[in-house]
Amino acid sequence: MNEPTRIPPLADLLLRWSLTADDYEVISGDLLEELQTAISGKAAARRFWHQALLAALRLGVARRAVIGLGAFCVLAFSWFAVMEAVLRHPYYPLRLTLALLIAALSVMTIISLRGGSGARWRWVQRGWFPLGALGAWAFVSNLRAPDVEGYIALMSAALEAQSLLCLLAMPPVPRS
Amino acid sequence: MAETLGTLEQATLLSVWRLAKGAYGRSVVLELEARLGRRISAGAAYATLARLEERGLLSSRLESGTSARGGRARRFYTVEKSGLTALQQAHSVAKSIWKGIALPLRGRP
Repeated sequence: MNEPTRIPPLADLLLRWSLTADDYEVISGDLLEELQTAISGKAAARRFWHQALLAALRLGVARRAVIGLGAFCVLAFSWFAVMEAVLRHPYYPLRLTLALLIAALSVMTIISLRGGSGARWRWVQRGWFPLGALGAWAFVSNLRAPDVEGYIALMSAALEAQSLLCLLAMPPVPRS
Repeated sequence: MAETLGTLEQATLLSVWRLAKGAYGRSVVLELEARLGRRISAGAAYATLARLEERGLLSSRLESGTSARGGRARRFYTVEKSGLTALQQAHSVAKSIWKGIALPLRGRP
């Protein structure tokens, strides 16, 4: 029998990197079973296997990107909130509240992606609708302003990217 | 409110129901391919299963794996009561839409 009897080490590493612990166990088990038994033939087994790996990689990249952007947003918007509290620009209570909301939702996003219920994740995703719109508005407004602020461009772009990834690229139920 | 199901969601729910106690990721993909007569990407199948579970139409449990899987766990799926209701609703809607229409379809009714 010429079928490989174990997942190639590099692919196994990529799967482990891409998926949560439960999903890695289940999906790598399905792949291993497919390789061992080749129920639907060798070509179909290879195709199924490559598709699963690619899908897992897409998900893994999106998940890591959301966690990275989330960590950036927590730090950046916490700093922004502190600066607003200290400098007291016009409308600072509103800006301070929004910055804290964004930081809090970013924390919730990271916690949810590291394991949690589908219900909590649904609420997190809903939260990214208005905040994503806010990010887009801030990004465009800043670009149209006479003096473009680099930090606002960076923070609003991160906010927008996080929102889009959470809404479009992530699975309905992130598992631990 | 009744759940609206897409074609792949209906086929996935029915596959899980048909496979009964043997419904896990890979077996569902094979059943889907057999029933739909086309290839189903693994990513689409797993994402559909997760979405149906999130909507409460399916539930899942982890069970220990066989030697062919290197002992790795299997996630088995079960159709919930709300899933059966959604399937029956989808069937009623399809029947209602097609009622009185003779096949094959011609250019004019």
